[in-house]
Amino acid sequence: MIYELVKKETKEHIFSRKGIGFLFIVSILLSIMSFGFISVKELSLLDQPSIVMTTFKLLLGINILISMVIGSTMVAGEKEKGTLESLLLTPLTKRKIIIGKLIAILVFWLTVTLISLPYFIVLSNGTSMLPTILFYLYVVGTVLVISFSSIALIFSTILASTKNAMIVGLMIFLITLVPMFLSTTMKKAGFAKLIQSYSPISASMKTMKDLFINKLGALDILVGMVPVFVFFVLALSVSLLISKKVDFLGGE
Amino acid sequence: MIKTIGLRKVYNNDYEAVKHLDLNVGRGDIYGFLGPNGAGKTTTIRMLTGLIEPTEGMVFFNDREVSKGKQELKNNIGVLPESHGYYEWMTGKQYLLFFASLYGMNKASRIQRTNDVLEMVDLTEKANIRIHQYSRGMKQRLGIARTLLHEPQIIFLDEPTLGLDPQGQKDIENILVQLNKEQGVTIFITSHLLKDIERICNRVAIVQRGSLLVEDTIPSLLTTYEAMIEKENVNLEDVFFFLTDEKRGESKHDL
Repeated sequence: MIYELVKKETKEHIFSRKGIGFLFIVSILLSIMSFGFISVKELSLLDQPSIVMTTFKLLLGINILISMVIGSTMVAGEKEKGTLESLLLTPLTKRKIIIGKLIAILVFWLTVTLISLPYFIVLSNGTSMLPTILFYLYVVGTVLVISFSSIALIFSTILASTKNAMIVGLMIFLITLVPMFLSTTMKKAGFAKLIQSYSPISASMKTMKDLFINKLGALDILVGMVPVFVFFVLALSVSLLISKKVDFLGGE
Repeated sequence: MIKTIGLRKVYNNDYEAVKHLDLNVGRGDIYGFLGPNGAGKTTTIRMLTGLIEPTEGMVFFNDREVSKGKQELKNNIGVLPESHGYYEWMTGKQYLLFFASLYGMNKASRIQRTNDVLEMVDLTEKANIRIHQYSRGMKQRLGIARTLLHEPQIIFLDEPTLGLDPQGQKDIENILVQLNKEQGVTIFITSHLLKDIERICNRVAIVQRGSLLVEDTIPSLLTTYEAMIEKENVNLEDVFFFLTDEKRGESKHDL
């Protein structure tokens, strides 16, 4: 039953005009970026690990954003269209509905990774970085995408409108991005320090640097990843718990 | 088949939508559930179908309490909600195949059943057209087809003829009578078209402001109220207005 729901969600959100548009945007951005690394003098001077890292950051940022947009529309959209009531009347449980929608977002992410693979193969040409890239892409990338998609689904479940779910979800994502826009001094105090220490985005960026540039060992990387995995467990658990609240009547 | 005892629903601790409702729907009935707007019809259907929990009271389906066997209930009922949407990007056939798969049917049986129900609601020729191109009447027929996919024992239809032209209403009516007669499907229907209800239903309940005013077979109801209404050839509409107007009067008097 879940498979059929995943198929429907994938057709509706991923392999639809909207989804294909998103995939097209991702590939265009990757192409522009890759072209920039070759043709822009300053960028071409970067070492390969830095190039791969920059590409990763773009890919993750854009995809988390798109996954959150898709996730926000998944439950609230069904409420708005009046299709959720019929879905709830089938033997499908509320939890399975959420899991099915989450898997569909994962399908989108996996499609994106397939699109990005040739770029990474070219960008890491002549180095032994490809296995590390694949690890980062499929383990850390997937964990982050699931975490943020879960957040989007939580708000999509408890709020009745797609617009509100999208705004709140994106605000949470932006909060986790705050440290990226702050100077090193600012990151050392107050709220910025708190986010810097616990933000899954900050942790993933730091471990990426440790992995590709500082070449730290597996244990250091794993310790650095703790906020990413804690965030993943929390977001996923809350989204599954909140699935009980999936209700066609809305929640506002 | 469906029995309720003291069914009550209170929203937000202050609005009592349904007040201690005792209903009895027998196997093979076409049961008309009538009442003015805001009488609690939709809330009652949502409680009977397990979509919302009653504040008080119990619902029994085949003598088993619904709250203890929701999955069993879902497998045996079909529901057409009042104003529900469709996945408009799908064709009618894709829509039915999708829902058939959610009921766990294998590929062969879902294709067969989809074709069967499409024929029942006379949509076979339009099966491969996208739903956004369907008329309102076609969408309602498709909705009824969806409720029949898993061969339920009872179907709940909340205002299935709402917004349809006379031909569309007639089509739905014919489908329901045929389903009941040929396949023995029990039908629980709400509608404001009292003449149609009188024609197709064998038993009705009239509710107002969440309270049950009367529940009986139509012939018995007409006989009971004939003398009170003081009119020849009393019909269901006369009984409905007599009961609901009377009730409004009492409420005003109470105030």
